[in-house]
Amino acid sequence: MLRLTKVTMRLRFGSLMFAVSCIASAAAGILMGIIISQGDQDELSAAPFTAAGICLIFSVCFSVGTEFSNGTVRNKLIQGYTKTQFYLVQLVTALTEALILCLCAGVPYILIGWNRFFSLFDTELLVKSLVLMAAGVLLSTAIIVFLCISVRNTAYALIVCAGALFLLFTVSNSLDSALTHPEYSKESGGEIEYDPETETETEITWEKVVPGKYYVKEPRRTVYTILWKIDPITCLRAAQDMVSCRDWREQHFTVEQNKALLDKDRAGEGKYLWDIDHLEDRLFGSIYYPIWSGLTVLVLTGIGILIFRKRNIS
Amino acid sequence: MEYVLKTNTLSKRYRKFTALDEVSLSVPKGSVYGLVGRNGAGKTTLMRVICGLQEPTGGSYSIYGVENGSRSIAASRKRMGAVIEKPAIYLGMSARQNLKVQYSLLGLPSDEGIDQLLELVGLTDTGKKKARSFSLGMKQRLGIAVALAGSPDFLLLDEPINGLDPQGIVEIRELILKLNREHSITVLISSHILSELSLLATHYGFVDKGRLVKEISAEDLERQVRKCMKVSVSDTKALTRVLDRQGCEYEIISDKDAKIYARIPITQLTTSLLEEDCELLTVSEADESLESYFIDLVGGGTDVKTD
Repeated sequence: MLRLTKVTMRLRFGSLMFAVSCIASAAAGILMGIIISQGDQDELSAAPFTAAGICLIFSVCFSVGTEFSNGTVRNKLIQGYTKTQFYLVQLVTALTEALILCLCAGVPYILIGWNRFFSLFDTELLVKSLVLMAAGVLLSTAIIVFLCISVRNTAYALIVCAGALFLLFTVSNSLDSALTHPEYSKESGGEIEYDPETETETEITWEKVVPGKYYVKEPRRTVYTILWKIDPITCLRAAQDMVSCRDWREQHFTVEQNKALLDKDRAGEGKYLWDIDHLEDRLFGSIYYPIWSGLTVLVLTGIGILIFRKRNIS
Repeated sequence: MEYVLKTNTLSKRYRKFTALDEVSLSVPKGSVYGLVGRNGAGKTTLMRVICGLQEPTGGSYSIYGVENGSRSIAASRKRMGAVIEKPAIYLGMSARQNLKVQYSLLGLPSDEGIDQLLELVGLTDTGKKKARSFSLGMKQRLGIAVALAGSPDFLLLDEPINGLDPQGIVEIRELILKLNREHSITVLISSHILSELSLLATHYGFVDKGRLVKEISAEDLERQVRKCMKVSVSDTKALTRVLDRQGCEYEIISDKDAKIYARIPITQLTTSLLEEDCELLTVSEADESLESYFIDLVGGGTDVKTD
């Protein structure tokens, strides 16, 4: 298997597609680094890593698709390598490639935006968010490999992968929106009361806590939360949230403050904006999200191997 | 006789379609085994199953005596090379680079032998030219070279002359004969171009609708398709006595029918038979070709070519 890995890596990393992918990822990193260092953006954007992910889709689809269209996969299987070995080697190669592309995108990005990043965030936060972003890309890579080997045609694989990633982005986005709806909200109003005896008008105002209209209740909430956590794109989003001044640093500086706000809101005081449980989890529990999506990806890889083993190679 | 490949009631089903129906064949060591059948008869499926690209749904096969269920089947497969349907080569690479990749896959310590392989298949002068711009014949030869990397002693070739021009067909034929005769490589070759197969094969397996209709050696087949006189008599025992007396070569087909492989005057035969109390019912001259033999076996409507 080591021999097959070596040959596959040599072919992949010696290809023109890989060289173009590296250049494109680095260009995205440099561009975003310049924007960060010069502009008003106050957050670590996942854009360079998304660019690396897109390059990766092209590279993996072309190389895996070529193995099937040229029929060279047959040579490997005839020479005694199993379908499981072929799948795992493709996965390991794609993960290595993803890591290299993440470095191509991330290193210039961080280096160029260095001063800006460190004036806004502490090192721990930056490292955590970068790890989350890399994890998001790596986990998405395993899905790309699964799709490419299942589809086995370069053009179809490109379409399916693009569609799948779009779906994962949409699902992550929608679930996040659904989960951030408040459990309670405050309604306030007022009315003018006229006193005929004194012929005066008195303004009476009221404020009451009402259940949130769009709040997702249990057991749907648990299902939504699980789906949100197992989606690898959530890692990218959570990483961005973690180092976003907009959501966190300026309004809710610490977990304690968030919790205090939540308690206050539940007691019916103050104004409830977001669902604090979800916000807290998104900001501080997100470092464990890769474990959730990693387990899903492991299951998916197992399914992929089983499917590939059963399928006929033409 | 030592067999390189043996299949035992090997079957492959795709949902309702049966691609291979209990095929039992034996490929003797050192032979060129021609697998004959019309398009869709199951030739390619059989090769794919043997190569491990598809799993059989029934039966078994053994390569060099190793059963397909055994763990060491992978090691046995390393002793074989295959070109199935189309040559499995990297189109963006040169002939030499393709062979280097195959050598690396096989774990061969050095690139020694690549030049000899290129020379063997006649691709020495291709230099850095990408396989993409090769002619079909060159691609086919490169595919065979890739299959030959690691010096296998069993080669599977699926329709290797399909789409080739006459020159290409001759080149591939000569290459296969060279590999078989000079390098002692056993070859399993499938084709529906019978005239070409007849120039190569030492054994035949006729496949139709997934079934192995007949397995026969080239010698026996030649005997069956050669020019002869087909006779129907009332008593074949009497015919045997007559022909034995005259020293003729013959074959008794049934109780009444026989084939005589000699020129014998009809009057003389009739007289001799009458002396033995036997009546000559019909006489016809048979000049059976490989094609008509095949059609007899599988029935009409074949698309097998004999050009």
